[in-house]
Amino acid sequence: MIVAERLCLENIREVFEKNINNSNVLNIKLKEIAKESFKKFIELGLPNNKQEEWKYLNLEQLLKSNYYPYSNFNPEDNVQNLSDSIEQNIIEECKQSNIVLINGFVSESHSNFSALQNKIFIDSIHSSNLRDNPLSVYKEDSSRPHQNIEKDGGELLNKNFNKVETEDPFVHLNTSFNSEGLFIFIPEGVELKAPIELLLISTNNLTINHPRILIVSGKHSKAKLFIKTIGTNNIEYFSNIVNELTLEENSKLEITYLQKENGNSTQFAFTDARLHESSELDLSCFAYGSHLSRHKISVNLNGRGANCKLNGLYKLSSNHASHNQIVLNHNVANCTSSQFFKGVLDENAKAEFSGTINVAKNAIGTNAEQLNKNLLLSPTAKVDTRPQLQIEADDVKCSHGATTGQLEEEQIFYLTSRGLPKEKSIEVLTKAFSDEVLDRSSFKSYLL
Amino acid sequence: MQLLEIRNLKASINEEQILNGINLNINIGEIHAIMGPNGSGKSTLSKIIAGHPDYQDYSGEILLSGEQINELEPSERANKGIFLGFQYPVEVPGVNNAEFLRLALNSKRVYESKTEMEKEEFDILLNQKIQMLNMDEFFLERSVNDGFSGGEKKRNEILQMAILEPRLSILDEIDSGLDIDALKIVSEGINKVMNPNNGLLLITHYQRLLRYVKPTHVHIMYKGKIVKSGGEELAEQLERGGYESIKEIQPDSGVKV
Ligand SMILES: Nc1ncnc2c1ncn2[C@@H]1O[C@H](COP(=O)(O)OP(=O)(O)OP(=O)(O)O)[C@@H](O)[C@H]1O
Ligand SMILES: [Mg+2]
Repeated sequence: MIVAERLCLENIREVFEKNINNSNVLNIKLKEIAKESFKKFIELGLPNNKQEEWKYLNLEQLLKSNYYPYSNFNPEDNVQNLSDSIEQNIIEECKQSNIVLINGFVSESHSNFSALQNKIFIDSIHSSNLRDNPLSVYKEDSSRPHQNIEKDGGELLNKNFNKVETEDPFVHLNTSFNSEGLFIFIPEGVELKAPIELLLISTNNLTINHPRILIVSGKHSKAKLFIKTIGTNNIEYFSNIVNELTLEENSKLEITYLQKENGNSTQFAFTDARLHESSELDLSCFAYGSHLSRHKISVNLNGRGANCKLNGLYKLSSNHASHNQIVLNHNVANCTSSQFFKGVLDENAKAEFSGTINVAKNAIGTNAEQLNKNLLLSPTAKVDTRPQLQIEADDVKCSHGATTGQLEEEQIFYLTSRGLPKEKSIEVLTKAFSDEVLDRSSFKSYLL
Repeated sequence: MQLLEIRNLKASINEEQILNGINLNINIGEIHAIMGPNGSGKSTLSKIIAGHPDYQDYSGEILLSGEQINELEPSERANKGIFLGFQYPVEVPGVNNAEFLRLALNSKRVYESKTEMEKEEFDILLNQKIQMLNMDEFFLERSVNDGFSGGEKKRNEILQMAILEPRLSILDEIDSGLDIDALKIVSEGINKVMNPNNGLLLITHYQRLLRYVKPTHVHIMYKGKIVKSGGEELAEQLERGGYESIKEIQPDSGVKV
């Protein structure tokens, strides 16, 4: 218990109690979930480096800092100050299909999802089974038998919210405090042409925020998302994000996740994906900004023929560190997964790539591959890469590999011998290295 | 007018002497050929002229148009007009060939304080050169030398040379790996790039290439030294009688190693 109090959270219990008792948004069920999670969080305590999962993370600074959780926050404050930076960070394709979360709270006034109105369901997690008028509703189309989201929103939420099976204290911390959160449901059969942007912005110094995103893609639906996380310049904060993704049968979800927090920040993100039969998840993650970032991705292939592609690029310099921890569970037969992560590390940067593929006993016909490649631009940069396979089934195809190296001198010489200055040559070769991942995202031009 | 002058160049790698005092003069408008057995140091010489970082430990002087370039970075040497056609061109996956060519040309233009060439203008230039070398356009869409056949790589070197229009080209075994038709095309390409104001240093094992690209001077290199220099006839002599026919490289020739 002392542990919990040390993470900044000297007043964590007090804030938690206040939060829960004063909330007029939380219904009984969500309150219960929050209470249980808080209990679990206290029980687990904060991690230490003796635990395998946290072995490579430098938690010292984080645990020393004093970050204050929100007991209440009105995202509609500060409106003028933020408008510019929000405007700049909304990509061209999403000018009418974006949702902005400020410190984890949906800001209606900063969002523009007019192109999504009547197509998909959008609301905060806390409100979605309560109020009669969600932010965006899906109108029933008589030609197709869709679920009545207005009525069933609550049930859908109960079915999909807080379904992460983990002992990760930060997930439980998020669930205890999750600030309103965002719930998106793409109804059955809906294929969105325009991508959706979710912009998560942190604005307050020395705070910890707990954005929570739940995306459910209905059967045969198709959508593309661009999720970007940023922070106001020069402030110090801790963003503790949890994303839950449920892909129903035959749905397709393509997500590009760009962590571009400021350099004083810490971001922990936990993405938990559940894939049903023949669904397809394409998730590309880019870690650029935080001085300490961790992205744990847990994928459960629960339906036959599901297919998950994970791509990642971490580009770090200074003394920044990025940790990618992936657990890919092949729980049923005939699923496919691939992991392709690359790192470019300069100066004193550090990175971890831990990827585990678990193939359950009955998961025959599994096809899983994993590749991690790292480019060290400085002798003081460092990478820990740990690919792991745990296979209990026969008749599976699994491959994994990892490389860490420098740029090839002969390539640099070749480029310089054509007149490119050395720095430019290194830049060109590094770009070529990164492009292999960048090219896999449809948002490449926003990732450079 | 003097283009390249090399004075008493000595170099060693891992304590082993590879070049033993090379002296070489190339004037503008001249085409020199260096021939010599495997391992005699031809590629080493070419790399040192281009500024390869592995061979920084050498003595002697390299002058380009009278200016000493010993201390210059490879890129600066290139921008001053030195071009090295590699014996083994390097594969650079992920770097588009056409873009690379434009980058190279623009590096030179920036160095010369000229404006960079826009893509449209460059593409026109590129197309001319591609046609001149009878190359397939699909070379441009691919990554630099990535998966190119041996002959394709050599042609790509000549394409770069044609774009950069260097003052001094050093072509290290540009003829190896080329089929008979390609040898002809590449030779014609080289001849088109040559003019009275630039110079060429060819490194080759065979007289074949020299039938198409006529050398003004032929040198024979042996154990890190130029042991004999002459005209075209020297290449013919080699072709007929092999290195045995060159008395300077016999064991009793007195060449100090
Ligand atoms: N980086 C290096 N490390 C060790 N030895 C080297 C290195 N570079 C060259 N050498 C040695 O120097 C000698 C000359 O090599 P070089 O490549 O210059 O020969 P060459 O005349 O071009 O031969 P070839 O006709 O086969 O191309 C060889 O014995 C070679 O093994
Ligand atoms: Mg050679």
